[in-house]
Amino acid sequence: MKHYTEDELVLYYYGETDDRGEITRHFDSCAECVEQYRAIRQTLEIVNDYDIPERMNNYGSEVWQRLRDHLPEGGRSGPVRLGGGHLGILIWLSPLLYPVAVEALFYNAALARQIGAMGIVLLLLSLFWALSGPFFALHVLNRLQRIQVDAAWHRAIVYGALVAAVSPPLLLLLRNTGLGLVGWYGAIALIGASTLLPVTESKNSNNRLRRVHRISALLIATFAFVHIANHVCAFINLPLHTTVLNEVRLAYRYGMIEPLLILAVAVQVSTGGIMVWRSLLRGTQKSRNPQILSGLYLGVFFIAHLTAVFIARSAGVETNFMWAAGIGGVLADPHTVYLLPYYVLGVFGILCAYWLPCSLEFCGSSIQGHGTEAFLYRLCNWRLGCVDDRVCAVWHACWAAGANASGISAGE
Amino acid sequence: MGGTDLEGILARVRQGNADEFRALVERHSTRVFRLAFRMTGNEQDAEDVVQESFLRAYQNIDRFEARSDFLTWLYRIVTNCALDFMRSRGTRQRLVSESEFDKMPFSASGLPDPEHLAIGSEFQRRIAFALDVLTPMERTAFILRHYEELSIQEIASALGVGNSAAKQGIFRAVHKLRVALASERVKKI
Repeated sequence: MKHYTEDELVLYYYGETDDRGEITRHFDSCAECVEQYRAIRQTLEIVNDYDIPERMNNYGSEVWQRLRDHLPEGGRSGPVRLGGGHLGILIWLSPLLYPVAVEALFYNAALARQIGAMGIVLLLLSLFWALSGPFFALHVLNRLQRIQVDAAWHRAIVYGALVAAVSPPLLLLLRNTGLGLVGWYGAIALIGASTLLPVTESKNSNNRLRRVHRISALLIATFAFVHIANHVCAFINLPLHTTVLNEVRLAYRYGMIEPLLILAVAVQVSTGGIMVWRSLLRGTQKSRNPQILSGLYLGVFFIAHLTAVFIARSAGVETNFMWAAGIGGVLADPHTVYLLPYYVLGVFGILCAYWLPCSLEFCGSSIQGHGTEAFLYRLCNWRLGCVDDRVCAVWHACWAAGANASGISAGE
Repeated sequence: MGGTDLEGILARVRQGNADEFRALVERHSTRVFRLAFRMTGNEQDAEDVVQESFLRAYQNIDRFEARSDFLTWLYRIVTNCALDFMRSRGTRQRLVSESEFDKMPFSASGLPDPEHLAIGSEFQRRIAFALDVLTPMERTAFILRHYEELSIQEIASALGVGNSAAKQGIFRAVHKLRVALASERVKKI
């Protein structure tokens, strides 16, 4: 006689079997299966007695009251729309048209020299255009509310925003390595195609990486402070800049200092890149978007800058201010005009547009914890005494920016 | 709530009217709590899971497809949320240790102990322990089938696995429960 298995009888108990009538008939003639079934039923009846804490009739209202304050403002993670159009598609136009924006910058600079006021207006417009990518990217990511890279259309928007944000240093890197516009559009196509590849959420913690990241940031910041100050000198007095540069070089090119700085940049870029990727996979909140975009920008900026410096050094070119800015200024040459949005976003854009909102957030939450930000925040409070929190936040932003936006030309 | 009502609410929530979400929260909170409690085994944790689940549901409401059942979709979020919650706390803290379990007055003789049988909480702890023996997948599949009365297909959909995997989860769960609650079963006869 055929006996039914435990699994078949479990399905019978739950009414999930097609052989229900047949099994019922089988029970009439098989005491073994009846006993087996009775044991299963008794076990499941025991489990039925598992009590659940009672909830009042108005429990739903209570949950709603608690939930309401946590619902994100301005909607959810749906398709991102602006005036009926999809920002998710528009964001890809930013990197696609970025080379055109830079060319427009060059031709409008020439026009401004020829026709004056009207040319200056056009020059400013093209400058805003060339600088708009990271801001547009930030806006789009913020509209997503919560990044969820497990959906293809979400990935398309996120990847598009990331490329838009890093367009200035990425294009410069590709130009410096000889890939030019072919490499640029090839890279965009590859990144676009990669949105079809599925990714899974990350469960890994960033805590250890964050510690290493911050230590490397402080090392770079020490160099960057001197470096940026010296660049400011160049705008006031070029010979003074050159003198200071020569003196500073003696220090940072001494012994292991330069390799240590380069190692710090490598650590900064790699740990930052991993943390950005994990944050995206985890579905980061929009308060982290400025940090993600500015961090990514800096990562590509570091790579582009160091690559340019080492290519120049290997060719025996002096990597001074004239090398960085061009003989007639960055707008005078179609090859150096790419440096303008690259530097502006690398310095002022990061300082003013990205790190300030990040720091405001830190002041409100994680700044209360440990680590670099907490130290800087306490330092800010000490320096500014009893001034209000917002001023502290601005002050902190400068410190944080100094620590993180450093190494603007670590290899010079 | 009829299908048309639900569609209307979803449409308004998608347009950004967060207050419309209230009807869904009020309707499903108790069931969501029950599921969350059975999964986490802890009242406070269950409350946290309820809140996080509704928040995720709100954020992802655009992903809900009208042809699916809303409750099944919500259960999927709750189970994921509870599993994340348990993972984030490491191995779920057992309500009863194995040594405590062995010392419980029911086990040795197999005969009912009236004094202790009267203590409902002891009995509850034994069931909680038995459920604790299950893996998260087995526990979830079993809870959805046994308590929430979802079909195998709905469970598979909620867990994002195939029908066969959902069935196996239930089979393994029932088998483990039979072993863990054998002495209780003897007393009930």
